[in-house]
Formats: sequence, C-alpha cells, structure tokens
Amino acid sequence: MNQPPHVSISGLRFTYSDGTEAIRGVDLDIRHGERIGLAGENGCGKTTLCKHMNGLLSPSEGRITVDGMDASRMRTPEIAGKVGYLFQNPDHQLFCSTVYDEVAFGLRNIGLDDGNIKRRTERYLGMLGIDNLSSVTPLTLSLGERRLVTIASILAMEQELLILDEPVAWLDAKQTAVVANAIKQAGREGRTTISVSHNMKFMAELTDRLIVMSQGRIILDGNTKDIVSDPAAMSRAGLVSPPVSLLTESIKGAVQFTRKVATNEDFVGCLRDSRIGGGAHGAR
Amino acid sequence: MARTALVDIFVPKQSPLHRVDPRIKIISAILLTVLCFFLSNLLVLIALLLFLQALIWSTGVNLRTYSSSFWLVARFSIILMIVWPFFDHLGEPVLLDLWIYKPTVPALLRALTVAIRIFAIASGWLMLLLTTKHGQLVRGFVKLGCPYDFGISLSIALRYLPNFLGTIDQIKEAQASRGLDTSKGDLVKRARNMIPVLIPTFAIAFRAIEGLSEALLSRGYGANPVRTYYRDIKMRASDFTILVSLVFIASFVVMMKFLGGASF
Amino acid sequence: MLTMPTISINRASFRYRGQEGRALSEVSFDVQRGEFLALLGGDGAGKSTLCKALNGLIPHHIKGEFSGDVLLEGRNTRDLPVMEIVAKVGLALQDPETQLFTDSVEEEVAFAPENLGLPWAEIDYRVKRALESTGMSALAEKSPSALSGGQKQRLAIASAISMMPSILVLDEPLSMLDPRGRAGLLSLLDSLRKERGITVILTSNTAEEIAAHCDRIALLSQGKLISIGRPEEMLTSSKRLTDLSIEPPQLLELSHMLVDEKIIRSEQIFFDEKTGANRILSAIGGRSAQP
Repeated sequence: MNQPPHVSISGLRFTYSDGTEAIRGVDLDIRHGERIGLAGENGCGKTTLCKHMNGLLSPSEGRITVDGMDASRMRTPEIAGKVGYLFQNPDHQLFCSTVYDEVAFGLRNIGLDDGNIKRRTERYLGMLGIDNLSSVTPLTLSLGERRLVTIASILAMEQELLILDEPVAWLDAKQTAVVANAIKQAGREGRTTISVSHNMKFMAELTDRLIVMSQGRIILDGNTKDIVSDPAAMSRAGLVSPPVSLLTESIKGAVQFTRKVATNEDFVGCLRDSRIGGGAHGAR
Repeated sequence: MARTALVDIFVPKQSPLHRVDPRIKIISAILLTVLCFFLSNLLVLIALLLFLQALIWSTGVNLRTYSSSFWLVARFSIILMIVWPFFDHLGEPVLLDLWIYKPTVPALLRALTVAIRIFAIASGWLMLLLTTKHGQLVRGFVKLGCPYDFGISLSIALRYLPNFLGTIDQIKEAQASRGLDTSKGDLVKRARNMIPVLIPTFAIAFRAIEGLSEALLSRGYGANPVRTYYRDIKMRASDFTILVSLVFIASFVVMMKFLGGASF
Repeated sequence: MLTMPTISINRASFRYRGQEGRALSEVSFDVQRGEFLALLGGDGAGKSTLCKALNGLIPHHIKGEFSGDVLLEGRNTRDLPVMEIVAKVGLALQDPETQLFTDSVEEEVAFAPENLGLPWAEIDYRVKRALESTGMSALAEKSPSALSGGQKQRLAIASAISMMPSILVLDEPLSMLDPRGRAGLLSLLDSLRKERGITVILTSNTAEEIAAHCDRIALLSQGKLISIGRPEEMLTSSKRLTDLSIEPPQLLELSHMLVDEKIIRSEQIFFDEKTGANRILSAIGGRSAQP
C-alpha cells in the first residue's frame, strides 16, 4: 500500500507551560484503517500525544501531520469533521435537552444537512441501544447511559480518524458489548481507530497494533496479541496480561500452543489445532 | 495554569512570616485595610507599600506568582486612574481640557493615592495567602469566631476552585472536538456558544457538591456539635508581640489623625 | 447456635424523591461478621443505593421513600443516631477525587474522628494506625492532590477506617484503577480483614478479580437481589451474568467454550487460573493416555 500514513509523527517533544516534559521524543506512523491500542501508566504521555492529533496541543519540537496536513496549524473546531475525540468524562460534553439533540449537535457543527443528521442520529442511537432514550434529558441519565450518549455523539460524526479515551470504562457488561461492536463496525467501515485503555482484554479483541508508552516515550510497538500474550513483556511495560494469557503461560509445559493466545478464541483454537478434544471418548 | 494562581499561591517554603499564627496574619490584613483609609499622605503610603513588598519578598515567593498577582491589581488601578478625571477635576494645573475629561495634577495625585492604597491593602491579603496553608487559614477564621460551617465551606472552595477552573478548560476542549468554535462570530453568537460550556460546568459543580456532601456526612460531619482538632494552631510569644505592636501602631496613627490632624 | 449477623437487611426498598421507579426493591439478606461480600450488578442495579442504606445516609439524609429495615448488630438504622451509625460503618464512595479536601493525608484521615469529638490522643492513635494499615505512613504530610489514583483510593479507605468501623463499604472502588491498583486494593482489603476483623462489602459491575477474594457474591439487578451465595455457586454461567449486565470472569467464558469442545465436562467449569489449569491438564492428561 503506497498510501501515505494517516498520522505521521516525527521527533515530537512537548513540554507543558509549568515545565513538565510530557513527551520526550516520539516517532510514529499510523496507516489508514489501523486499529491501534495505546496503553501505559498514568502520566506516561498517551493523552498528551492524542491531543496533538486534533490540534488541541502543538508540539514544542518536531512535527505531526494528519492526512498530510500539519496538525499544529489546525484549529480543533475546524478539524472536528476529520478527527474525532471521545473524552473520558461524559459530563464534560452533555448539555442538550434531549439525547437526540446531543447527537445532532456535532453533526450540525460539521455542516451536515437535516436529512443526513436525522439518518445518522437514528442509526447511531440504534447502534448503541439508546434509541429508547431519544427524548430524555442526558443530564438525568445514569453514568453508564451518559457515556453511551457521548459515544454515540462522537461516532455519529464518522470521522476518518477516531481517538477514544477509555471507551469502555464505567460501562457494564451489556453496554461494553454494544460499544465494542460499534467500534468494530467503525473499523469495518475503514476508519482508523486509536483506543486508549487499561483494559487488556478489550485491547486484545479490538486492536491489532499495541503501542505502550512510558515517561513520554514509546517503549513497545507491535502486534497486540504478540505483546499481550507475553506476560514478561507486559510486566516490564507495567501492564498485566488478560487471564487467558496467564492461564496459557501456566500450562505451556504440558500443551503445545501453536500461536499466541490473547483471547479465549485463540486458546480454544490452539487446543483444536493440537487435536485435543472433539469427541466424547476424549473427555475423562 | 495561570488561572489557578489566584487561590493556590501558597509558597511551600519556610520564612518568618510563614511561622506567624494565621490569626495574627488575618488581623494584620484587616487592620492594614482599615489603616489605609486613615492614611492620605502619598509619601507615607508609598513608604508603607515598599515596606510591604519587602515583607512579601521575604516569603520566598517566585517571580511568576508575584508578577501575576501584581498585574491583577495593576490592571484595576490603571483603569481607576484613567477614569478618575471624569469625576474629579478640581485643582491646578489642568493638563487637558476635553469637555468632561479634565485631568489636573492634584486630581491625578489623589487618584494615585487611592491606587497605592489598593495596592497596599492587596499586599496585606497577598501576604496572608502566600504564607498560610488553606487548612490553617480556615482554622484562623474559625478561631477568630467564624462558625465551623463557614470554615469548612471556605476549605472546600479553596480546594475545588482551581479544579473547577481547570474543568472549564477541559470542557472547552471536549466541545471544540465536536466542532464548537467559541472564538469566532459576533458577540451574540459567541455568547450562545458559551452555553455548551456553561451548562456542563454547572452540572459538574452540582454533582460534585452532592457527592462531596454525602462523603462528608459519611465521615461524620456534624455528628458531634463539639469538634476536636488534630493539627491545630497555637499562638506563641512572638505572635503576641506582633499583635501588640500592630495594635499600638494602628491606634497611634488613628489618634494622631484625630487629635493633631498630623499629616499622615 | 446462631450468632447474630452483623448486618441484617429485611425487605429494604427505596425510591429517590422525584424518580418513578424504585432504586431498591424488597432486598433481604444477612452479612456475617468478618465476611467479604461482593455486590455485583450492572448500571442502575441499585448498588450505590444499597451502600448508602448501609451507612445511614438513607434514610437520614437522602430524600425519598424508604421502607423495610436495615439492622446493624441488631439495631435498626432508623433508630440509631447518625453519629453511631457512622462509627460502625465506614463508606468510601466511588470517586476519591470528590471526597478529599484537606491539605495533607494525615489531616484527611483525622477528619472523621475529629467530627466525633474524640480526645486528641485517641485521634492521633487512630490516624497513625489507619496510615499504617493502608501503607501510607510515609505519605502523612503529602497533599492529597499530589497522590496517584491508587494512592487516593487508599487514602479514601484510610479516611473511612479511622472511625474504627466494624464494617467497611466501598462503592465501585476498582473502576478507576489500573490492574496493578486493583490488585493492591484487594490485597489491602484482605489484610484489613485479617488484622482488624472488619466486615468488607464492595460493589462492582465485573466479577473478574473479585471472585478470588470474596466469601460470597450477591447478584443485583434493577433494585432486586437475584441471588446470593459462594463464588462457586454464583459464577456458574457467564450468560446468566451478562444477562444481568455483569461482566463474567474471562476464564468462566473460556470454560464454557471448553465444555462445548468436549474438553472438560460441564461440572468442571472454573473461573480462576489455578483451578482451570488443574482441570484442563487432568482432562488432557486423561486423553493422552488413550491409544
């Protein structure tokens, strides 16, 4: 693929006005359609890095381009149609009198006509299972529901680049499943997604490439499953592998695993490959 | 970041002023405020102002904090001095004659006197905030007679105000990412565009207040009308000395003013 | 011979003022002294409301309709003055960020015993012990805003246990923490139980990690208690959990898949690594003995 990268970062350094050096040299290329996971301990610089991608911050040194354009010259409201950013706290965004208006707000700002606004709003309210809440005031909803509303309002804008800060935090099991599907759908429709999260189970299922940061630098960058299934590498990066990877590690001696195990499906697939199971006579 | 400078300016160092009991510092600031209104001699006021700046610098305050506080008051004083000649055009010599705007030298001197007074009063309160942690400040007010409820409200305000201001910035970022442009358009449009910033601000504030009051109640707030204090403030001999000296000086000035019309 | 349960909830129901539905609906269960109980439920299940009914915020401070009884060591929370309830039940709410407001860690921890009007020496003793128990003695003079997320959570707990409560209730303490923070918190709770015999109740919308530490799990949904029992009894069907909007342990889901693959039998499902490893290995071992 000779397409230029979607996001290209070189020599990026960033220092806050109070002197904190948040990013100490990052070089990174992200291709169109990649599903990226971004992880690291609090204060590692991942949020600071993301805020450079939609013009909220400008580099102190180095360059960042999004779709070939210099991101530091872009004003956030003008780039809102190309780069979507889901913030962690839904209460930083909700202000409309109905859920419908809340989702339509962003769409109006990026200049969609009424017909398209209606179509997209209904589509995404349905996708996130909150169409029954369409005429409810968002501020009166529970925390999980408020989160779903903001997720719908950002996804509906269908930007080519989506940055999601802890998309499944504070969501219960059903809500998490709905959001995970919506993010997968965005991936299928060719959008580039960057998910920032602590949840390695989520990362293993929804991202292909995992970037781990520490103290303003990238310390790991590779295939999500390769990284997540390696408890030693995870531990060095300050992260914890999902339970299924830990289980794999503990029975490695007795069972041959043909590939890396980061999800339940991987585990079962490996056992099938080793011809274990598949018949009542086998179970004892 | 500069926004939090207002309430979070405690200088984490040790200086003689840091060690003075908060009650004394509060009383000093009040006495200074009152005293300034009795002083009308420009030279005396300037000397007092310089003396207060020396005290401020003795606290170890950094240049950034000091200059942002200075400019906060300066902006106000400059406006005052510019506007003054609209209302006071007595005296000679007259510098300009533009219909209702007639600055004269004596009037400008009067304006300057008021400006210096404001600086001096602000200096007193600045010294208090620079050298007193929030908790001690609140203890000071409560021990001087304020009800504990006032004290804890003050604590909470001091603690959460910087957060609150920071939250407004975060809200602006979040809404900008949805395409909201708060810096373009005419005045009406800009005012309307503040709604998506103000509503979440208030919503967050209400939720925080509700959550905080539940948390405080869960920790027994109001359980016993008689409270004990763990880290309390105690007056020392030096504090009493300062107090007595302050009262003495203040009374002296006031007395001189009323008795002899001395040119203070 | 039966010992009196430390908490006895009998048909507790609550409706917040101004809301249509009931946040709690005829909830009844007992909690024994020293027990570690996990209340699992999805968004809107009533977990927070139940926490507040345990420490007297309901019915004494929160407006609404409360019916049923909550008994703490046999005494009804309706009849007990708040001062007594709060000394028995420590509550740490969901976001520590919105609970901490003093200049230093030790002042934060001292706040609760100060409110009780205890003598200075007693406060000093309790503050020091609470900081020791939560591993925060070295941070005594630090400002709460300078702490990390995990440390803030510990501080919230230290501030609750300085009341020397016999019961500690934590509302979604894990949701704001990263995996290391969660592991640290759970082991802290284990040591508090051992050291002080405190009864611990915590709420969560995920069963992962908690199953290994708690004695019993209660499943809540829409204000009702669906079921209560030991983890082995409650965590037998991941579908049942997801239907209640609770995230099942990943390994429980795996064990269902292994049953489908006929690798293990349905009685052999598991949710923790050690049991899982044993059962899988013995199932496979049996097989490889086949010709």
